[in-house]
Amino acid sequence: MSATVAAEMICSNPDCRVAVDKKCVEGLSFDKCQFYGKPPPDPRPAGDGEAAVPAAGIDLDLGVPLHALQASGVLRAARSRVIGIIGAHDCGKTSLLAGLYDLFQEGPIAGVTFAGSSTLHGFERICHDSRVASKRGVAHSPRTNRGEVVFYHLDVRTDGEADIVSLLLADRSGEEYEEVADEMANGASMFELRRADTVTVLLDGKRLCDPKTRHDVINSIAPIVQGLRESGAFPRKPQLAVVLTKNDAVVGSDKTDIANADFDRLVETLTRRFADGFCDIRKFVTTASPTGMAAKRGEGVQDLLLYWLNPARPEPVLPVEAGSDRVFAALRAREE
Amino acid sequence: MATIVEPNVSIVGLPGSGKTTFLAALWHLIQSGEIPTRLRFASMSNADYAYLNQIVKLWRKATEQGRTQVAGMKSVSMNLVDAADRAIRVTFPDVPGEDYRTMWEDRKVDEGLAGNLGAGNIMLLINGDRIKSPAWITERMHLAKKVENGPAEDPVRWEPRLAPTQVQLVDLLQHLMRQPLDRGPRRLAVMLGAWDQAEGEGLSPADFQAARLPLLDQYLKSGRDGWTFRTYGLSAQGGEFDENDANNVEAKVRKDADRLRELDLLSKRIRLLSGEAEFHDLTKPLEWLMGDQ
Repeated sequence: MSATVAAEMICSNPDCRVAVDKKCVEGLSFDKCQFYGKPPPDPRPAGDGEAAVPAAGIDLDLGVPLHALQASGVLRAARSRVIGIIGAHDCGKTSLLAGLYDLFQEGPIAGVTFAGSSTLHGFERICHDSRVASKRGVAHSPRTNRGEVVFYHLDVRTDGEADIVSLLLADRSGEEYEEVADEMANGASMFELRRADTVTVLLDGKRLCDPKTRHDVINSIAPIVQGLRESGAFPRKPQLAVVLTKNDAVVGSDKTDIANADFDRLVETLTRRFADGFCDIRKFVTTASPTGMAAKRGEGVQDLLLYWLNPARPEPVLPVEAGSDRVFAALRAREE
Repeated sequence: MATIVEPNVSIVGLPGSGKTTFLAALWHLIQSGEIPTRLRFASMSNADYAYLNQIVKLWRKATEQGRTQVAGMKSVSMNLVDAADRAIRVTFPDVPGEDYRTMWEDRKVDEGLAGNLGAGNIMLLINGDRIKSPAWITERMHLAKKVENGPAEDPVRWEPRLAPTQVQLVDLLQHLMRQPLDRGPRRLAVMLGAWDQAEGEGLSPADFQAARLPLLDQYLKSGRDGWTFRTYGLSAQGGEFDENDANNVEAKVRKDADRLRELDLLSKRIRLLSGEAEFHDLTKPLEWLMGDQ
């Protein structure tokens, strides 16, 4: 691409990555997009939707979700588990993250105690629309915008364990995972999956109960996992958690049995096709943030949390093609 | 002449947590000598007591502290003597709660406050009657349908001030154990204030902390940041004071304030609970906070 063309690939929408993926985040042609071609606004902290107010004093950490480099710092500092979460748009990803954090607001979860977090502002922001303080009539979850992956951070201690474990929960827009099924190369750069101890695939229970969307839900997952695996996104051979979300919608539907059978069939399919790519595959059913009283808040989330905390597998030892027999020739970059 | 020990204790709390009331009650207790205390009044020395005398007058009259009187950071010193007759000069920076709220909302700390917070152990005051807990729409709507259907309102955008009390407190304590405020292991006295209002729930202070502030309780018990902590129930007023009428023509006069004024020993207004034990001596937690200095 020429320098002139590259200079034109700019957008004032901070969520648009047109310079990278050559696509309008709104799905519009460039001549129809009101933001395309305009310079982006001043940089702002990740996850912060408001303009920063300059104030006097010493800066403290922002409390917003971490970028990959910051997440690497957490990985170096403590025992950790990286959780990649894959799912289509509106599959309940943000609700799952917010629901887990909100369970800790009420006490320890199945012997797991909250020990701290460097992303409290980020968690509070994604919890807001399901809280009374938002003054909404119905619980809602904010959409994850396109852009670089970010990580929510929770330090936890499990009963009987001496060490604190840092959980890094990856958040990336559903559309970007869906695009892996279109173009496999998109999966190769996904840091959160390369480094994941558990890959978590979400299936939207509400859409599974809708005849119009049911088959799309069932059939969209395997191609994503296939594309990611073939692009080398899972070198650590992580655990695979297959999660049916929004189970309150399934329980309250007249298609409960069909949805459950579909889910079981999908788990069987994933196990048959991809068992050699994961160290373990297990299914979970959750209601992270119910919209009615058919299910209890956070149902099933504790089982998923305990699975995420399973001991991490050692880093894979990749074959080294040494150009000489000198020791330094066998050194390789550490994956963080 | 014996060496003067100068420990530093920072009294920390969000707006309305009762920091100034605590200081006023402590000053009365120390100066009056009405009841035996672990730390005793030593001398006036050359310190400026105008601020302490101003706030203690209101406390003795059973009148709430006025918000305007606590604007800006005040450094308050008291010359005390401990059980071993060691002279101790305790300095408390009395900081408006808004400065701590700024740390949560704007992610900034005032340089003067940072200097104080970086130096000592912490007394964290929490108003047990004003704890904002998280509440969820689904459960609230379920209850509301049983009671009444309220009018629909415009959604409110997220702002940090909407966060539950326990989240703001965990964030504050985490900051105190991270740069630029970190100074290594610290002691922490969690003072659950307005205990006369909170004790109706029939819980001990430690159980109240676990039940009403579970995120804070987990954070402290996890030991991640190495806090050595104790939890107390505190009633520095002993009941409800009259509202301050300085800038409020509609200030409420309360019956309970009459009862509190009629006590012969005003120090007996003060109630401090630790486990099953109850006492009036506010210097006990101070003495413990100074224990490692």
